[in-house]
Formats: sequence, C-alpha cells, structure tokens
Amino acid sequence: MKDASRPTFVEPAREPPYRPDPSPDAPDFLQLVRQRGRGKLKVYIGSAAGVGKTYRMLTEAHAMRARGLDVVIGFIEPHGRPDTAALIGDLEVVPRSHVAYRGITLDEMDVDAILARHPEVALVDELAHTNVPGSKHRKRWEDVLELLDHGINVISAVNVQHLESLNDVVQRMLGVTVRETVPDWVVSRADQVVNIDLSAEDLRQRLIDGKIYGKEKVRTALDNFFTAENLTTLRELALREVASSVDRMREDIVRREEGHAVPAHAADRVVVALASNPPHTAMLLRKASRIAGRLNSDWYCVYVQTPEERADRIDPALQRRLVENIQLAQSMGAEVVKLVDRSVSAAILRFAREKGVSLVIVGQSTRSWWHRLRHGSVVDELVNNRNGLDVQVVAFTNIEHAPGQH
Amino acid sequence: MSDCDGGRVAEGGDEAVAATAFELLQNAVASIGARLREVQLPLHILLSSPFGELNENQEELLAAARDATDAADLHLRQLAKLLDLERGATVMMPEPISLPDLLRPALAIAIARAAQSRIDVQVHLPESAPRVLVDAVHAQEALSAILTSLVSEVPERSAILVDAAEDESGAVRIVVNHEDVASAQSLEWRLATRLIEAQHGRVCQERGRITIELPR
Repeated sequence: MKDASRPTFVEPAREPPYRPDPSPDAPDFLQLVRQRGRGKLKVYIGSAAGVGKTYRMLTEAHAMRARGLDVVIGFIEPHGRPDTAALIGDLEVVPRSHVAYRGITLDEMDVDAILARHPEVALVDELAHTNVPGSKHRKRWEDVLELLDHGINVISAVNVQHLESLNDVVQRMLGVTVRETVPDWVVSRADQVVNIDLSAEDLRQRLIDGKIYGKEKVRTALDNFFTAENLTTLRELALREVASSVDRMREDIVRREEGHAVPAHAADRVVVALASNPPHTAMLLRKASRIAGRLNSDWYCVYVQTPEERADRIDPALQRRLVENIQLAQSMGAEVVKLVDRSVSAAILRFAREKGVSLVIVGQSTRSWWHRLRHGSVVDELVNNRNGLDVQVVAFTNIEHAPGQH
Repeated sequence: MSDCDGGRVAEGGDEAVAATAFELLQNAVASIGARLREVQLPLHILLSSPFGELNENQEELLAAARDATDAADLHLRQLAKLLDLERGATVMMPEPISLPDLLRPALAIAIARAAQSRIDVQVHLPESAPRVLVDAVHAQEALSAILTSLVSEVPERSAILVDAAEDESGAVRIVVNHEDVASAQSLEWRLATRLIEAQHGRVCQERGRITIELPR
C-alpha cells in the first residue's frame, strides 16, 4: 500500500558500511518495522542481476540486528558470488523446505517455518521467483504477502523487468521474454522502494570481473542480455518506475497536508473547458493548443462532470463523444482532467486557482438566450470571475449545433 | 443483461446439500492438485537441465507442457480460494487507502495489456478521491483481475473508460464503461467479485458497464 510516509528514492549501488536510507523525509525502515499491525515491506529494485540488491539487503540485515531487531534470512540466493555468500555470515537462516521426486530433491523457501519462527524481519530475495510445484504458493510474492499478513516485516528484491506492466515493453525493446513476473500491485504496496542504481559500464565491468556469474558465462552474458544498450534501457525503466513513485508520493503528501495540490511552477498555464460536442470541441482544442504553444506553457483540458452526467447515468452516446474528445485533447498534448461538481464554472475557477492557470478558454454558448436567462450561463460566470483570470470565448461559426453541450 | 450477485456457489437453499457440494469440490481440488503435481515436478526438473542441455525442440515441448500444467494449477488454486471465501475462511484486514493508490497498480497492468490490443484505457479519478476502507491486497488483486480480464474480452481498438465517484450513500463507486461484450463469467471473475463482496463491496455487471462499489 502506498502511503504519504512511504519513502521512495534512488540510491547508487555501493559496498558497505550500511547507513540508514538517506531521504530527509524518509523514516528509517527500522522505524517502520516498530509499528504494529500488518508487516512492512521494503523492496530493492534494480536494473539487472548483479547491481547489488542482495548485498544491500544483507548489509541492512546486519545493521538492523546490531540495533536489536530479530532478523532472519528467509531466502537468499548468493548465485555463487563469494562476497554475497560471505556477507551472510552469522545471520540466522531459516532452513529451506525440500521437495523430493524420485531421488531428486528440490529446495524452496519454507514459508511455514518462517511463520513458526515469527521473526521481526525476514529477508526474502527474488520476489518474482516461481516456486517449485507442490509448494504452498505458486509464487514467492505470495509467500511474502502471507508473511506480511502475519505481521512479519519483509525486505525483498526484484529486477525491474519482472514488473508485470513492463513485461511487454521489455519484450519489445529488448527482445527478451520474461516469464517470472510480479503484479504491480504487490510492489505498489511496499512501504519503501529503493532503486539500486548502477551504470551500464560499471555493471558490465562487474560482470567481466566475475562478480556476477562464473567466468564461463561471462562472454555469453556480455553478448546477449548484458549489452550496454539493454542495460541502459533497463536502468531507465528502473529510474522511471521509482521517479513516478516519488511523484505520486509527493502528490499524496500535498493532497493530504494542504488539501489541494499547488504546483511549484504556476504561470501562464492555459485551461480549456471540454464540452461533449465533437465539432465545436475540436475547434476549441486547436485554439487552446495554438495559444499554449505560443506561450510555451502546459495546457489542461478540463471536463466537469455534473451529477446528471455521472458515469452510471450519462447517455452512452454522449459518453462515447466525450471519450472521443478526450482522446483528441490528449493527441494534441493536453493534460485531461475530470472534475466532479454541481457547478461547471465553480469547478473550473477552483481548478484554475489551484494550478496557477492564467487563461481560461471556453466555447461560445449555443444555448438560447431564454435558457441562459433561466439557468445561467457557464460562460457568463467565467467572464465575471473575480479571480483575475483572463477568459477567452471562442466563437463557433458555420457549425451546426449538436446536443449534449454544457 | 445485468449480474449484480454473480452466481454464488451456495446461497440459501439446502445447507446440507451445499455442505456436501463444498466437501466434494474441496476433495476434487486436492485430488486433482496432487496428480497435477506429479506432472509438474518432472517437467520442472527436466527444464532445469540436470541431465544435460536440452535441445531447442525438447525445451519448447517441455515448456509448453509446463505452461499448460501451470495454468491448470492456477485454476485449481483459484477454485480453492473461492471455496475459502464462500465458507468465510479468508481473513480480511481493512485499512483506509486512497482510491488512486488502490487503482493505480491494477490500471498499470491493464493499460500495458490494452496497449498490445490497441485498446484505449481512459482513467478519470476525482482530484480529491475519497479513501476507501478495504483490505488493500485483496482489493487490488480483485481490481487487477477485473480490469485485465475485461481487456482480454473487449474488441481490439475499442475504448475502456474508468471513472470514480462517491454515491449518495457514501460508498465509492468505480464505473468501468466499455464496448459491450458477452461476459465469460470466468473463475477469475467470480473470485474477484467474491473478494470485493467479502469486504462489503459490490460488483455489478450490465451491458457495457461494470460498477464496483467499495465501502468508505
């Protein structure tokens, strides 16, 4: 679950010593685990194997134990990396379960043994791993969810290409099919997400130095998955993933603490009020797009949903036109925003104030003067605003009126 | 067509018959699962190549078999989970969560899948979307299942519109408008519906529209 207190940041890959996570607003994971209730989840994200996720997990485990926490290793796979194996040291390891089949034994994390042991913190590597058939859960992330449900805090790790929503992107850009995936909602509920960032050159060098795979695999890895291009792409994906988390967290904090989000740069922004009539709207959007282009500013396309136009009440035909208009606005580069309010003009004015908009563009009313007299006019209400906003009313000429505008 | 109570395995009626049906189903799930494991394990072992490298054809055939057994395994596990929900054995841990946070991960997956079929997913969440009181894990699992199964059912190049609002009773309503399709009422769909209902929510499906109500 995302929370305003959830720190999400990028940290360069590094060797120990461990230090608390460096975000000024971020509570140390130690503070989080001392809160009772459902366990807390921390996820290290990396662009590829070998960036140092497992190493960081183990370093953190030692630091936590030194600070008095009961930490165990639920599952760590050192992949033959001596540094990683050495770092396990004297940390308690919960024995793995064994699945035997005709003389062959397979190892798996023993989730029931961890539950019985009930440590404060369990390290569980490779969140996307598919468990051996016959295990309690199909996927390791399901094991982790069960640990969290029982109040055990978990530190885990995953490579960015294993995120389910990126599966297609990775396949298209890298030509690699990733079979083991983690649903985004699992990572999304992490209380902390840390990106272990390492440049493509440094990662390739680590591979060449034999710090990731055995010498016999290095050449193949360098020529296939670990190309500079692939690693750069994955690194960008990881950074983007974490950056968007940071944005979401910031928005959430502002939303909660101040009630309304106020952008840092709020000048010369343009908002266009979206109606559902396609010919008029296309003209309106073109106008707004040109003005925003001249001002070199962001522009918003705002649709105000009144109670009569609620999603479960709106006429399907009107709904389709609205979707068409939204698509059109997006194709022209607008950020489309839906507001819910009884008053169209009040919602637009409030939005303009919050977003630092200086110009509102609205279409000329196609209602009769009698209708405007009886029910008021959105255009008139906007023009008469006392917020110091400029309002540009676009005249519609040579276009037949169509129903459904507000 | 409207389905707002989605075909309960047992509701009302003869409790003894329902109990027997549950028991039979549970036994069947366990029994078929055990046999399935006997197929999955050798496939898993062979694909990890302990007896030497597999050639491309061998690997392709074994991987196809593994994928088929995995799909069957997933189906059985979903059925077991549905049975647990029906008999009230699933623990829910409700917590307040904002609607965008709840929906975002499910939407990320649905949008990625939709892009493959050139389906346009439009999302409109109110700026000040209220918080809902749900078990985030189960609710996100359910929303993800509903949206991704919808994406797999609607025609290519169509549009899906996800909207949210608070209704008169104070509940939060997520409305998904889409091009009308015949609903498959898959096991995944039923499981998702039950996961929402188990936390005092509701899923209602009618022509071209799915409405999901969540408590506040």
